[in-house]
Amino acid sequence: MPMVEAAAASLVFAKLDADQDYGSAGPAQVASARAQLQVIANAFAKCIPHLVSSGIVTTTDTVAVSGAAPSPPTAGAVVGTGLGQVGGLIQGDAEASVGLAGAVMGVLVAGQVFLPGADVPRARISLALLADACAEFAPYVMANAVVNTTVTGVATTLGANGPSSGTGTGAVA
Amino acid sequence: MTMVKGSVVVSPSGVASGTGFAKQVYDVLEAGTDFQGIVGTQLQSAKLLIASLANAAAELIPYVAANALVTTTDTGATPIAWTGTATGTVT
Repeated sequence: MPMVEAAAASLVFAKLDADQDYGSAGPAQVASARAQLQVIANAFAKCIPHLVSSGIVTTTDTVAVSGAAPSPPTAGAVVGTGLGQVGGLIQGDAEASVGLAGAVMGVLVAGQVFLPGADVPRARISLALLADACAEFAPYVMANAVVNTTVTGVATTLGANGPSSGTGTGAVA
Repeated sequence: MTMVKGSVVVSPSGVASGTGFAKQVYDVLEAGTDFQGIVGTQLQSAKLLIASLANAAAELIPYVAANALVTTTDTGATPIAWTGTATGTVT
């Protein structure tokens, strides 16, 4: 199943909500607090579409070719595995509205995650800090994510060293 | 190395410790927060708040690991086994 931004937001919201002690707060206060947590969760979940739109996977694959022969021309098969990483993500900057941090910041600002009576310019600094911290996702994934793929495809026989190609599918860990 | 969700905990004295992506997020939040004049249980509460945000952000890591699909296009030459490179996408 491909990644879904809303599903990721739900997981983040559930964690935030579970960590809260609403104490004696009334229903309206709880609803207000939870609405703000939802905005934060939605903002954090911007990591998912950023990964999908900007993530570039590179792998090194080792493939075995079988069944291909030049004479008579016989198509064969390629089967192998690949190992690689994710690149292309842009950490960015919240205040500059650049990259992942900018995307997260946009959701936080649009959601008006400000306490009643807050000094908005000062609050913006806090939101920017939150967005920049979340955007650590970008370098973290690029530095640590491991991509494993399985490669299958067709080997053709244009000469002794004809081309072969395949399609890989895999996962990120 | 693979991605590690990790977590952050805060001791009663306000000392945070943790692992993985959660700690990386926490460190950025803590470094950008002015705790001057905040002591005791208030310091612990403040750090618990940002630990909560960091731990929540870390939920993204297992989500990606569980759901990200990679597709690549691979090319090489027959008839021998080959080692090549591929580029692809994450969905």
